[in-house]
Amino acid sequence: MRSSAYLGYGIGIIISILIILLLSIDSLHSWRVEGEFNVGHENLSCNECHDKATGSIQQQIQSNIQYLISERENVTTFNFEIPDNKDCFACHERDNDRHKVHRFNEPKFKKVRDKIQPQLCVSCHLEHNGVRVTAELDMCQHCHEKTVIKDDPIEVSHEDLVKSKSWKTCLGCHDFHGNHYNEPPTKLNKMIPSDIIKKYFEGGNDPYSLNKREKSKETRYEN
Amino acid sequence: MIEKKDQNTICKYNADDILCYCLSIKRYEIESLIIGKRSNDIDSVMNQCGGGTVCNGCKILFSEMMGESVWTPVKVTQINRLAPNVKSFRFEADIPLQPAQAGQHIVIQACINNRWELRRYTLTTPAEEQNYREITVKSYSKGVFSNWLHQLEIGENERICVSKPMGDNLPSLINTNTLICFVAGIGITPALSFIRTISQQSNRPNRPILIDHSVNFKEQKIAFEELQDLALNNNIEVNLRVTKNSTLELNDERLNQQKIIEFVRANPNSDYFLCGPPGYIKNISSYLDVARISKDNIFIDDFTTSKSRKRSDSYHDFYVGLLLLIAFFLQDALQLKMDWLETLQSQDTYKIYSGIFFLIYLISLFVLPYTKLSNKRRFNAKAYQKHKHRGVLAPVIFYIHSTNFGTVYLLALTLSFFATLITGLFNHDCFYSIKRESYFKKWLPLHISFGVITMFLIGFHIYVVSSY
Repeated sequence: MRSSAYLGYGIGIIISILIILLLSIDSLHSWRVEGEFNVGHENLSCNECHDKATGSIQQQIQSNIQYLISERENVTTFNFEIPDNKDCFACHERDNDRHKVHRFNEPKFKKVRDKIQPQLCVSCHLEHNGVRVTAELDMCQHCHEKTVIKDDPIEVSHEDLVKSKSWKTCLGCHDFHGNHYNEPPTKLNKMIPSDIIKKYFEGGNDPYSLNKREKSKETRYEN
Repeated sequence: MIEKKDQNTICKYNADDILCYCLSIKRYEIESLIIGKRSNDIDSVMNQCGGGTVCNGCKILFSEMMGESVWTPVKVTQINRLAPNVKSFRFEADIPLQPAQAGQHIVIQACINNRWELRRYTLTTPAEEQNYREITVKSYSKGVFSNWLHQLEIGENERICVSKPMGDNLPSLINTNTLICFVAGIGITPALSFIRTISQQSNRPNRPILIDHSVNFKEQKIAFEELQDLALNNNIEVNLRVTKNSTLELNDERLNQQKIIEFVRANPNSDYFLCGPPGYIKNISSYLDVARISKDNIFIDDFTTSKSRKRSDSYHDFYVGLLLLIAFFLQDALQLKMDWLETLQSQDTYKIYSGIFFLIYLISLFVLPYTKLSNKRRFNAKAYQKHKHRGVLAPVIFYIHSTNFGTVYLLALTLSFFATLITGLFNHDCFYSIKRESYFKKWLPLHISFGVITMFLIGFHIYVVSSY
């Protein structure tokens, strides 16, 4: 039995080492991700978003052990920093963004922050899910439940849409970040159906417009 | 090469032969343990290596290795056909055989396709009979031993050995209260021994016996006419219960709670003897329990050999594991996801704690290899059972951590994990034939290598999730 078992361990260890070596090759970095890259990020390398954490691996492990035995207040990032807004802005920062994430840090958004954390890019664009947007279609409800527009130009008023809780219609007319050249329609039958928006969230074609106000950088290292 | 005593050279024991299949212990591994030990040290040897302690099927081989004379060579002298697939076999030896009690069993060893096979069969011989042993055997489509026996002819120079009689939880045949035997199918064999014993000892006071024999169809009755004849002159009652009608549906004859209560009322202070398939035993035991019959008054021969009992457990594990595996694959293929669980699994804290739970589970599966490769052999038997029972729960533990297969390296990890489970399910217990040993030698490296790959990939996964 032992010889058969040792053969099994031998084969298993050799194959495992080959797999780990394969996964360690830099050009195959896309093989070691937790999930598919989000749409548009397919060709990015890991260091586009993942900065090296400060300190050596040994120091990071020591710090985290100290954290576990309550001798340190905060957990220390290991190996790489957790990506945050500044990593996203390195390519996507725009002055004319309609929903700048930093605005959600204002006190009036406290309740919304507790619910969906809109102050973080990753709350709606969680990476490694193979999609474009990970938020729900009805996310507007968290901030716009009291929306009333004076001289409302559309055939069914915004007030009525809010009253009827038609939250999935918002994005049918309005591009959330406002980066597309498109004029919101005034009639409901001209709006983009929610299933098309949903597909866009999942990585489908852009239904708003192909003309964008600003293009994102291809890489954060681009001048 | 170890030659078997008193046999010619066709069938031999090889030092490399597996003696205990439950724990995959080879003969040469036991040889080193028995040096300087006497035959009555068998329990300490078995405890030391764990062999013979799981299903007990190989205990007799341990005794043999320790120098005890356990086998008596016999020849087939009579074969009778009792039902379409049931035959009785009479074996005689050159020397007087050790007297047996009614209802005891023997282990028969025969050289089939150049290897020694063992099976346990209940004796149908009257007690005290020393001139011959008789067993009654039903053939099964995939039964290596039963089919070999059924093809046997009288006078063929086959090499067959029988053990001394075994089994001690047997009802006495000289009590005054009635012994009610609820037996089904081939489970009538111990009852045959009881009746034959009583009919031979009719000059002394014998116990009243009631035999209730259940069969699916009338054609499956076994030695019914003989039993009826013997019942005429003794205090014996025999009842044949045919439980299925011509359209294969169950009929009113089948034993149920009400009928058992009627038996109990009509025969107060009786003892009960049960023998038959596991489902039959389970049902009748529960009916007797409801009828408030004490367990002290119930004798059970569960009709299966210890090996087949182990196989029954293995099949139970196999089906549970397979069903859970299919359920996991289906829920992902059909996207039958629960929103609350998906939300939970996307949270970092949940990922960490369910991941730790998953890791602890996997480490617990490596206890068996640890006990086998270290010198903690006495823990092997328990570790083996736990390994099998825990192993089949793998899809559930995985599901708690993730309901998806993942992509790229995570997909490789998932597939390797389930490959370990699948190879585990199709283990040597489910492949019970003469090819078992060669199958085992190919199966074990495959199962272990998938397990090792899984652990390496999990190590890599932990590195990735803590780094990024």
